[in-house]
Amino acid sequence: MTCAIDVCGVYFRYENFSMEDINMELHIGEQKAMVGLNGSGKTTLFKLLLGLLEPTSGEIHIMDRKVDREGLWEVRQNVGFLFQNPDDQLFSPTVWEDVSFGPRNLGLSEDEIEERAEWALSIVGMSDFANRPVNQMSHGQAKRVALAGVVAMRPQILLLDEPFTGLDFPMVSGIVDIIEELRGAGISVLYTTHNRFFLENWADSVLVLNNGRVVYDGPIDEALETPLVLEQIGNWNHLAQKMAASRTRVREIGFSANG
Amino acid sequence: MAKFVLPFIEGRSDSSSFSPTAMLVTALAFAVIVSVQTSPAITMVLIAVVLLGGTLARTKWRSVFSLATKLEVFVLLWILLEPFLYGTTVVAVFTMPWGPVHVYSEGIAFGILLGLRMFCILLMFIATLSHMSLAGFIGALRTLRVPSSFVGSMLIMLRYIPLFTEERTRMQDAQALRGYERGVRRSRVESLGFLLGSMIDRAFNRSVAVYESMILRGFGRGMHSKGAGLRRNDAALLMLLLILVLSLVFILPDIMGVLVF
Repeated sequence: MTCAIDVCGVYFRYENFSMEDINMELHIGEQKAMVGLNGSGKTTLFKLLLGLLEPTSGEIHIMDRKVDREGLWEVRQNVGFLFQNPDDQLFSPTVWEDVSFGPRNLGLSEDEIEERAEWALSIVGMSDFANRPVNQMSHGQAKRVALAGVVAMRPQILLLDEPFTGLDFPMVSGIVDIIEELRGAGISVLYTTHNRFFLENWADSVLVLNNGRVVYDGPIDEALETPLVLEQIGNWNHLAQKMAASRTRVREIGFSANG
Repeated sequence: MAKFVLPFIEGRSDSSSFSPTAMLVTALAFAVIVSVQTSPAITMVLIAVVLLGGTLARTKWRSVFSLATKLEVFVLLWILLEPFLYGTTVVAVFTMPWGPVHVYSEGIAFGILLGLRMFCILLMFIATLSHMSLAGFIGALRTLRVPSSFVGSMLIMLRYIPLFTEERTRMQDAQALRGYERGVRRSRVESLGFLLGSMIDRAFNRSVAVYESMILRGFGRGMHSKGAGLRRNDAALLMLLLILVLSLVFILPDIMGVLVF
């Protein structure tokens, strides 16, 4: 077994949106970025992987287990999903209750639940917040707790939906450290991003979606040389040039930052 | 920051001598006792018992009364409406464009009794909840074998009502920042309608996301949540309740009789 996720010829149709002939692989220990414009199907693909949506045709395997109704819970024990907005994920009265929610549903003993929740909170550096109500934290802290809730399930695969959105540098750095530590334990990661920095510097490979279709799935270096892929990632160099030109033009007509 | 709707102790740990389960059961039993009272005087004595007991237990009355005041409208509604709806002995008649409206003495007495009962129960429950954490409350419900679907729904409701309130405030701020003034009543109503529509829409989307988050972590396979077990001190609560019931049956009626004569 070398594939953590294996998506084979998946079609999905919902109202006026469709995903067609989706094929992708995420190898064990691999970290893959998923990029695409808004509405390209990234979230839909996540939901298909998690069994929240059912493909019209095609097959998805997670750790060699087919994602279907019979194996759904087994699949979900292997895949942890971090929502973009932690408010969507945290619902328990306190941080401790929320982090232990998953392990409790795994049917573990109280000692094991406690051990897992303590471990997860310590990994994200939130042990001191265990008794804090989930509604009294900053966005960054809530994100960490949400991540703790996911890793407490000890998943083999992490799906991260825009993990760095709205976070300041120390928080981003902290989340990167946490994920890196988990990767050291062999966890595979699939994350979405609109930020080229996190694409170029953090991914082993990239999956590019456009209008419900995979337009590229391969190494990051090649991706950055492919015009079709650059279209989806966004031509940030061109944007930078445009901004510089604008700044020059404004200065020429008499305005500068010094007044 | 959003607060929970009810005045729970923030956090997981509560230092109360009694278990949340015992407190909740006592409050329920007390509510039953109050609801069968037919004398306003005895109901007022029970309110005094709640106030005295709460003070001894160091209840934060300010937060309790603050919340009770918000719910007071429901109590007042009964007190004000009942005199017009119930009874045969007319004590006053108001002539209205659509005809005479009678006020009945039995309705006044019944309205006051209902109002006092509701106030007493309300005060008792809010004060009780202020002595336990939300986690303890949920644990108590689970110990009392309340169905997990109900507990889960309640948990989400308590968590998300403040979030919706925050969203409403944000939307109102966004309106105000773009020059909208809620001066005229009609525009206020229109604005409220718009906000309500947006909030229902957002609430639906959020509830779907939360449900997905829950089932991804095993919800729906029989929610496992920790109950709140009983403590040794809980026996004292049972004793106090017993003393109260015995007093109501044997002692208080005699005292009230002496006071009346």
